[in-house]
Amino acid sequence: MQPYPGIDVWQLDESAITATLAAVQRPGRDGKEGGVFWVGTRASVSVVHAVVVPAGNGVIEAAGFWQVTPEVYGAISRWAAERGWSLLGICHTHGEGVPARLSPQDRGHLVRAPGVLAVVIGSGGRDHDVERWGWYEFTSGAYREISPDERDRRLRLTDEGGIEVWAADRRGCRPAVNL
Amino acid sequence: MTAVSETDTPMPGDLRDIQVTVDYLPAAAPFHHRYAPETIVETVRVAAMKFFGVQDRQERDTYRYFLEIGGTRITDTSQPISNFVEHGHEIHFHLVEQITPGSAW
Repeated sequence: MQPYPGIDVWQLDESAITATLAAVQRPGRDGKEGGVFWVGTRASVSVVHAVVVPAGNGVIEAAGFWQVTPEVYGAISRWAAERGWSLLGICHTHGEGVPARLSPQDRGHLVRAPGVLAVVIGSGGRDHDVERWGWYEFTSGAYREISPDERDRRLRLTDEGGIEVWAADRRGCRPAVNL
Repeated sequence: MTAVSETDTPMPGDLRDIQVTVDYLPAAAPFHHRYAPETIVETVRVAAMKFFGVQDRQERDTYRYFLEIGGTRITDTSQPISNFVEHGHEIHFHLVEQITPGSAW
């Protein structure tokens, strides 16, 4: 079986967007970058089932910088493998006045696997309009910006709820109560 | 990818062989292969990286992939995989990436 089935459509529930914004606004209020992982089933139509919020031990949130250590990444890997889920996207913020676009540093540091989404939210996570976010897909060895037309065609927004929200640190993943 | 055809292939090998599984978070399918117990971790790491299409690289920063098991990152990859067997003849690793900032950080 191929490790990376092609993705035609990413299905993302509005509740995932709400959870993402709630998570990244916490560090954003302190002028720091933050981010989340979108995790779910990878297939032609890939469905985001969970928003995983790396925070605390093993996560660096700073002005102009967000990093998840290998230990946290490993904890999320173990948790996702138990569910048969994969990393579908990484969503992180840029601060006030910084364009919602991938920086050269982002391009180097983000996961490099075909079909993975990289999403950048501006204004420290206060920008609620997904059309103003930066949308990128890793393909042919690099992150490529997704045009508005392509985003409209390939991003299926639903309003059915049911998204799980988990917190992750180097000790493991647990259901998120207070972001 | 060559490694794909190597996975999930029944091997007539030694009954002592260890069934190794490696997950990588962005991938929908894990790497599977049977190895002799004395196989060193580096052999598995390299094969898994090939299967997942990733490689160590040096840019401004250094990017290196590690196998981890039970929350422990394996840095000494010259060890035999038999050191990590917990139940029967199976091992389940996860492939993770470490980024070491360069001097311009």
